Amino acid sequence: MKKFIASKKLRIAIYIFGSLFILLFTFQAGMFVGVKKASFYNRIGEKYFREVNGNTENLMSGTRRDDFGNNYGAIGKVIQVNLPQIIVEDQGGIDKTITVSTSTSIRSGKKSLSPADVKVDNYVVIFGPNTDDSIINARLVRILPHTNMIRSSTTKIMMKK
Amino acid sequence: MQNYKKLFKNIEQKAVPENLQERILEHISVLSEKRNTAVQRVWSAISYTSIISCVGLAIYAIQDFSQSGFYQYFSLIFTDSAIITSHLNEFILSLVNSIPFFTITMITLSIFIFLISLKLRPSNHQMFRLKIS
Repeated sequence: MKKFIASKKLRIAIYIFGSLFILLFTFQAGMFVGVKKASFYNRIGEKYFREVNGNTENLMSGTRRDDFGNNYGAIGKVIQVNLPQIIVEDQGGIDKTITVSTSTSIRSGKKSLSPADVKVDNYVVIFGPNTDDSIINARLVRILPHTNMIRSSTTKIMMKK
Repeated sequence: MQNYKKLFKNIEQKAVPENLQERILEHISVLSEKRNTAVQRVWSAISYTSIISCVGLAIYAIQDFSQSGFYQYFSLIFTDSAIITSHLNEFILSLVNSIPFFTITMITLSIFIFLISLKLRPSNHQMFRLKIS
C-alpha cells in the first residue's frame, strides 16, 4: 500500500479521475442550464396558451429534470395499438407515441414479426429518430419477455411514490 | 544606569539547565507529532467516507442503470446487431440517453477524493517530524 501511495500510478489515477470528473461536471452543468432554460421557455409557452384560452389557472406542474427522458426511444408497456401508431407507457411514466412502418423491424426472440403482432400489454424496447411532433419513428421494436420489464418498471413506480 | 547595575547585582544568577535545548526540541517534536496525528485522522476520515460513499453510489448506480433502461438497450447489441449497424446513430443516441450521468459523476468524484486523500495523508515518516539527533 505504501508503495502504491508513493508510486507514479497513484498520481496518474488522480489525473485521470480528476479530468473525468471535470468533464462530467461540465456536462452536468450544461444539462442543468439547459433544463432551466427549457423550463423557462416552456412556462412562457404554457402561460401564452392559458391566456389565449382565458384560463389563468396553472394546470401544468412545470418542467423537471426527470421529465427529460429518452427522446430517441422507449422502454415500457404497450397501452394502445392503433396502427401505424402505438402508444408505449415509458418507464418514467410518460406515454410515448411510436410510429411503425414497413421499414421497422419487429422482433421477439429470434423471430421477425409484423406490426400487427404488437399487442397491448407487450413489453417493448424501441429506438429510432424523433419528429417535431414528439413522435418516435421506430427502427426496431423488440418485444421482451414480461418478467424482465415488470421488475424494473414496478421499482421505478414505487420509487416515484 | 545606576539602577540597572543595582538591579543586575541583586538578580540571582541561574544556570541554564544542560538539557534545555533537547527538551525544547522534544516538546516541539511532541507538538508536531500531535498535529501530524490530527491531520492524519482528518484524511483517514475523508478516505473512509469517500470509499463508503463510493460503494453506496455503486450499488445505487446498478439500480439506476437497470431503471434507466440502459441494460435493455445494451442487450440489443447482442440480439439485433444487424439492425443496430444500419441505424447506428439513433441507437447510440438512445443508449447515451439512458446513461445515468449524475450517478457516474458522483462516483467519479468520490473516487477522486479517495485517491487525493491517499496521496495527501501524511505517513509516519513524513512531514512535521523533527528528528532529534
